[in-house]
Amino acid sequence: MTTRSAIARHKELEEVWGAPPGIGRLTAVNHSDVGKRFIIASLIFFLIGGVLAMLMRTQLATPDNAFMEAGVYSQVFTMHGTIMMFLFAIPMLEGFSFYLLPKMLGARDMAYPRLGAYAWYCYLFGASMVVLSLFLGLAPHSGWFMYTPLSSGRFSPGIANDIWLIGITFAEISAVCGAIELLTTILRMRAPGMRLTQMPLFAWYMLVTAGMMLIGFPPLILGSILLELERAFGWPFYDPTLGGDPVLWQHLFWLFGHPEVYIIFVPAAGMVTAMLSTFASRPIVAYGWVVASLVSIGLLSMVLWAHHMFTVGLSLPAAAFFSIASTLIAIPTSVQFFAWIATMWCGRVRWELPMLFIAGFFVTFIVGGLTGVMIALVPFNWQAHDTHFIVAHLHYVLVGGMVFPMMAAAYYWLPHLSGRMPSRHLGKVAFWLVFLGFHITFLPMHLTGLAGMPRRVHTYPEDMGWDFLNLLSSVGGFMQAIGFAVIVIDILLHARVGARAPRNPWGAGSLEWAMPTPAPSYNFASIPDVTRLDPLWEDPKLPDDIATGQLWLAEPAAGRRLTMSTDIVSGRPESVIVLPRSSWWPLIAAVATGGFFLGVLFKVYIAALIALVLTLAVLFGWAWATGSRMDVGPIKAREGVSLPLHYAHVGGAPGWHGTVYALVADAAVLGSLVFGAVYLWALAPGWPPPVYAAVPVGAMIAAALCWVFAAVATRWAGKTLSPTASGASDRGATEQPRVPMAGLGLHAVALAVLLATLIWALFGLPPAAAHAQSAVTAALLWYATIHVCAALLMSVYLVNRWRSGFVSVNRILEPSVVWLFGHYSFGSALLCVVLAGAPAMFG
Amino acid sequence: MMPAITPNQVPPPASQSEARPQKSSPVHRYATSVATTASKKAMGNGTTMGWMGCRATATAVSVPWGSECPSFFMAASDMKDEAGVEQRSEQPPCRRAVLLRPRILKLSASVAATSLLSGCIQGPLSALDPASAVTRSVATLWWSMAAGTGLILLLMVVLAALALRRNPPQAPSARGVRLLLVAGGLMLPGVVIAALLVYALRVDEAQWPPITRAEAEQAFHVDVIAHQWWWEARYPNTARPAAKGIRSSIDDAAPIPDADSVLRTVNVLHVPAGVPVHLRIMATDVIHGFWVPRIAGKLDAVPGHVNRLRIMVDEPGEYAGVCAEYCGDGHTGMRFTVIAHPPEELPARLAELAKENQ
Repeated sequence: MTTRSAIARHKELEEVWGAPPGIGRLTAVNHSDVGKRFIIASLIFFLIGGVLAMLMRTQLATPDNAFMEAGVYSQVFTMHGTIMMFLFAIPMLEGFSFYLLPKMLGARDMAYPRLGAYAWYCYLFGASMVVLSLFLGLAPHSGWFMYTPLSSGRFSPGIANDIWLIGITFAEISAVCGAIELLTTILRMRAPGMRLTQMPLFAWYMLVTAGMMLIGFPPLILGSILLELERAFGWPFYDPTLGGDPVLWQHLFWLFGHPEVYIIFVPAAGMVTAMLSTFASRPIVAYGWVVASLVSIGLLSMVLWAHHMFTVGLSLPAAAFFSIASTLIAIPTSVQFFAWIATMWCGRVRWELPMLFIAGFFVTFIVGGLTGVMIALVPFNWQAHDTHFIVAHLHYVLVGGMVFPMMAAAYYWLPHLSGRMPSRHLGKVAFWLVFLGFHITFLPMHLTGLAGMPRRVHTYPEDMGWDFLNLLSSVGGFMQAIGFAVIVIDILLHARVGARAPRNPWGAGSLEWAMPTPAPSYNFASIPDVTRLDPLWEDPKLPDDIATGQLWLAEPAAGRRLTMSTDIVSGRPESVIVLPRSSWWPLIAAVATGGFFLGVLFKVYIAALIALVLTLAVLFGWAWATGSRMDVGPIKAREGVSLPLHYAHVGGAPGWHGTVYALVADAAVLGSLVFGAVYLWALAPGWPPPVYAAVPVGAMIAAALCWVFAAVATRWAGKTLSPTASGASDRGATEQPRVPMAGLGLHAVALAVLLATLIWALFGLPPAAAHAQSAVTAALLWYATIHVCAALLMSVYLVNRWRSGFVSVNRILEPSVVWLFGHYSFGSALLCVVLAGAPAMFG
Repeated sequence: MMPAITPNQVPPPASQSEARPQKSSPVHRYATSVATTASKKAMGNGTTMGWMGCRATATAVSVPWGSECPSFFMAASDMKDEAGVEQRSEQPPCRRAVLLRPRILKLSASVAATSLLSGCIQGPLSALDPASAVTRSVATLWWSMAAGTGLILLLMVVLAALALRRNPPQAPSARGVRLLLVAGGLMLPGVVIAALLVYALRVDEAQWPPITRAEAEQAFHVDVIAHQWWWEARYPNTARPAAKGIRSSIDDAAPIPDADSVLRTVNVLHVPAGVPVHLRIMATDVIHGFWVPRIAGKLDAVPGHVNRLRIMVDEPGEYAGVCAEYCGDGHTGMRFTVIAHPPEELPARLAELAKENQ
């Protein structure tokens, strides 16, 4: 064991993990920095969205109000919804989980620090694009769910809706990146000994959330791409006069939209769980029940999207199915609530400031949940849908389910972020203003809706019975706004005048409080073993042991950022992950990606193409900067324990996991496209098309043969690799690469043949704008083409890596990733080609 | 698959003298104010001629009706009906609604003892002032669910408050916790949602048009076509020269009649009271939502699709309707009126309208 003092260790680690000063801050990739950036940016967007809400409440305060015209009002409500859902709620939760999760799990950073930084830049650029449009008077105006045909080129010409589609897609890429990162971090980077069934419940909540994001966001990404293709090039996916169907957009949107609601609620519930456990001074009772209820919420949320579409003309059985599925979600939610009650029942509850906000959440969300059950009933839904009743319901769910927990969390973790305590008094005043203001705004709004006031009307005549209710809502709205302003002031004030926070000010048991506050960049001076749910309650001396380097990875390792990788289930330490340091790549990559999106937005396709090539080049540079040219043996992770680095341990490497999760999201995109293709084929009006777009049978056979050929080639190549896949890294650093590059070459040849086949099939198609069938066929073939191109580029990259000595039998992560992606490309291309050809064959 | 709709030409506007504002009934006053505010605000940027035209026509179609309203009903109905009409045209809206509200609503209103609340729920578009069997059951459903929500919230808050107050805490008994989770987490919502679903699915079916031909033949048919930003109604029964009253053999699968071959009205739907009415709802441009809150739930008008709705109005009268789905700048003003006639008078009324339109 070393003789370093805790202070010396802190300085050395800070040197390695901290971001450079000045302009170099832009290169920071550390999860605490990225998390804080997400939180601050989304808070700013929240305030903008709040101002828009106040504009709406001003407009609706009195009948026949001429404050805003219909056209302006439509921009305001569209942007309010868009900002709150896409630019505030998700990024705010991402920010909190980025900041907290590694600290709760005993890791020093997230799995892909640079990806996290890239995700934030993407979000910032996409979000700024959307918000700037507001100031230019070019804001999107078709409602935050952008129903076609209203949002199509014919009824909404101009750039406004393109800004929405492109900006939001840009921001969503960020969310998917975040989800991949959360999954790997939770599954692979927990402290040694922390079993899956023993990790902090917040990690379970985020695991389920990340899973939902991975599958929930792709349908909207795909839907937006299709709509943009329709707007830009006339591919009629949603045009009923050319074999498309506007209802398809609704399916794709709500396939995303419903999980979205739970993506927002579940992390917030996880924070409530974490705080409640602290304030009840005991672990949450019924851990297993809570996890089971979470997983069922996650699964159910995928099968009830159509409850947003009861009035669109579903068949009776379909409506009944979605109605039942939607009401069923009340059961796991209710298990959640009773687990919280049981926890309070069994513990001794301390009534601190965050508890006040949790109580607000409790009351508000229960009402929102129960009105949710109401509108899951079709006949009631037919009355309430698209009225202010829905507006009231969704605010009860989202503000109740997310904003109240978020305010509690802000007060709870503020000492962690700043090292200072917030004021109790201002917080209380703010709570009552927000809580009362909220209910004054939205409780009467249920009645406004049932009294017949539709959503999204910019004004209303007198004598409809709506005057008083609307005035009340407006008064409440402004009360809330004052309350939020008080919170912002409180937070700003506390950073200046707040009392220094003691360590672990709330007496929590979870690991994030085992560090000094504000948190150091490296989190843990040495990484503890965690075998209990609440390590700080078990072992109050743990923070000292961590700081004095008694535990894992205590040696600051020559400028490298190291953290532990453990087994998914048991938490057994398996390897040591080397994480990248501060880097310009994320910013450069995000700027290049932004250039691509701007090119598409302004329809300067040549610029978009250049930016795309640039982005690819940047990604190559980015990827090139990792890895090692030498075989490095196991390193000392703790006294007497040596572990391999992650390059040598494919199964535990973040890169491998990330690829798998990215492919799951990619498969969800493909699944959505397949859903769209089959949906249009089976249900859209205006079929069959005058001329079928056909794919030659030869192309299908060629695609199948290519896959078989590549599978044989990689299997042959893989055989020589597999015995050394893990644990055999003690061969010494001089081992020359003996990876059979012939297998890789054959793999690439198969890809090239497949690419040629796809291009041949694409050239045989009639114009995609002629009919939805040709548009879908083209979309499927393009999906396959893009993937095969990407796989080919990756093969080229891999050859270069091999030549430069980054690949050896002990460092086979990169070939493994490339082959995995290659197989996905072959498989999806075959599916696309067959499905694209099917309508022409079967009619 | 998609029915041929050739609508976008709007019937010629009526003369200026006919397009004067109506004062006779609340619904008329409302319809007029909507038309003017909407045309002022939404149409300020001079979007279409069609809208202006359709506004004028809307008034034109309803003007003769409005002026003849009392005699029309008196000629047809017994004293009770007459009284009903008088109330409709002279009493303030809240009085009128008291007659129709279900008992449970009366009860809760009197408990609240505020005219404020009842004033709010008696507007011309209030779903809580039902005028059909379906909306009555939905309104009842709402008030019972609202009460249930209050009870459940109270239960949860009391439980949580008790849990907070408990002092000193006891070690949790595993069985006690499990009991709480099973009873509160599983059984409570399970029972509540099962009961609600059974009730709701039955109400549901009432609004879905039936499959049987016999019932389709009993029904009166109207095709509703939504446009940006006005409503068009076509009456397929009027297509044949010798209309056999309101009963016809037109079924839901029949093609949508040609614009020129049938009677059309704009922003007004004429239907019989007390007879099932089958609506085929469609749109020509973007998605709209057809909603007459006092009569039925809403159903979207989706381009490329034909949605079917069955409604049945209790009493003759005028019922306000509104577009529920956001459909562009004119959404706010896209309102219409359903006029329910005594069934025996409807054919004559339609014939009269047809003559006027020529």
